[in-house]
Amino acid sequence: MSYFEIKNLTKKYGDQIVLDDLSMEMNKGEISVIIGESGNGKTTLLRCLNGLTDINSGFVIIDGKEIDCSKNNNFGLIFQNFNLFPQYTVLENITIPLMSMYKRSLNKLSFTKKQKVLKSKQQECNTISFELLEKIGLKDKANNYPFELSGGQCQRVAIARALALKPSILCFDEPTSALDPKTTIEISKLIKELKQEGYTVLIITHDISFAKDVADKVYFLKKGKVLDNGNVEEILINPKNEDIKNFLGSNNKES
Amino acid sequence: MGPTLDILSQLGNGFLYTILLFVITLVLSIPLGMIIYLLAKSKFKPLSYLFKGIIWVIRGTPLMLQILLVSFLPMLLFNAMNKEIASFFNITISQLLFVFVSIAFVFNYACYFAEIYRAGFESINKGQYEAAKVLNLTKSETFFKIILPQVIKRIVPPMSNEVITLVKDTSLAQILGVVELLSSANHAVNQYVVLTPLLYAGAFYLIFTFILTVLLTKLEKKLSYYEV
Repeated sequence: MSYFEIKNLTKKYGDQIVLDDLSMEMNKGEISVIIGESGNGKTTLLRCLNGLTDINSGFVIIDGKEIDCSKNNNFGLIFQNFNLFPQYTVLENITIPLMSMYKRSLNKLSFTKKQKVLKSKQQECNTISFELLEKIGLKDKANNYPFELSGGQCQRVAIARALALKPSILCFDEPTSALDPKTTIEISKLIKELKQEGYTVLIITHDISFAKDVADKVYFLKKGKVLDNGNVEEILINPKNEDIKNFLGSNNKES
Repeated sequence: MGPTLDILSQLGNGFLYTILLFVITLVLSIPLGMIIYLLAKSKFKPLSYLFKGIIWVIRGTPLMLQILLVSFLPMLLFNAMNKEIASFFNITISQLLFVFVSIAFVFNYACYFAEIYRAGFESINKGQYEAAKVLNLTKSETFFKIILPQVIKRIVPPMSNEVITLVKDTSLAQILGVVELLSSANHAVNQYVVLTPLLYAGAFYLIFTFILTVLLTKLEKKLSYYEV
């Protein structure tokens, strides 16, 4: 049985069907990449999984358990434009969600006791955040503000922030769209390192060469359905499906 | 006491009322503006329309008209004379008139502030709410920690504008006989038959707005440690 399954997921905006009875499966510790033209439901799928929009029907199963996406405790999402909190330092961007998580776990305690525990937790959160910053190579930027960082650095912070909550599955929305070729290679490297550590990764992208570089499994989405899926060779190098050939062809011409 | 000192002490008295009205208006209209903004964007349509209507009327009519209307409200609503109201609350008539003026000012400025808040909140990128949601922040954490600080940074310049305008608008209080800075200057002009009190009053306003400008610029600078 697969680690992560989407079963018969349907999402409509009014009369328009964006995700049409979509099903897919992913294994633990794999990097799955979803490709497809704009307007075929890729971003909507990520938004559904992360609870940013409700699903109309279908199931999402992680590790054998059905989960409620609207409660989002299972996915980490790195936004296309990162959405870091501009008024907080890099370190605070990571500690704020961590502290919030601790705060919720203390709901039953009295106010004064809570404050006491939280004070000690702040130190722990800082330690965890520093470790994450070290992992992504930005420890020296801990006290900088997001506007002082480059696009690639912002993305790394966004990754650290998502990792802090220990998600089962890490989702990326068009991770390379704002990056130059050199930074793209660095991000591929980082994502592959995360895979080595056991993270399960789901990526949406238009960037075929990036997809070829990182993907274990590729899904081609068309009109809200998975048209075909397979490894890089089957989908991106020697596709059998005409639609995928067309998509790759026009994509090559663009670049 | 020489006439100059006497004039200055009269102006000083008036200036106290100017400052009092200024402070009362700000302290009350800043939170009231937030409440009006939240009610005007309520999902319950009748409430939303009601408060949008109130904002429209208050911004669309002169503040002086509103001050006058407030002073007639007890008569219109309860058929009560101001004298009766004042004795009911155990205050003097002039104190009651000052309360009327304050009410009009607070509602007037709250409506302008509500619109500034609206602009501030609408300028925040939707992605900030989404990031907060994905990171499992609670609604109140999202509002107070993530969104509100960014809104405050953005609304300081337009709010400063209103604050400066308020200093000068306080002179409208004299329509109900409140002896604020300008009307005390005007009394002195009539009493001493000289124009200098008006110049002094102008200087008072200028100094007051200058101090406010310095303070508000400081606040703006303090919030400029990051870029949105």
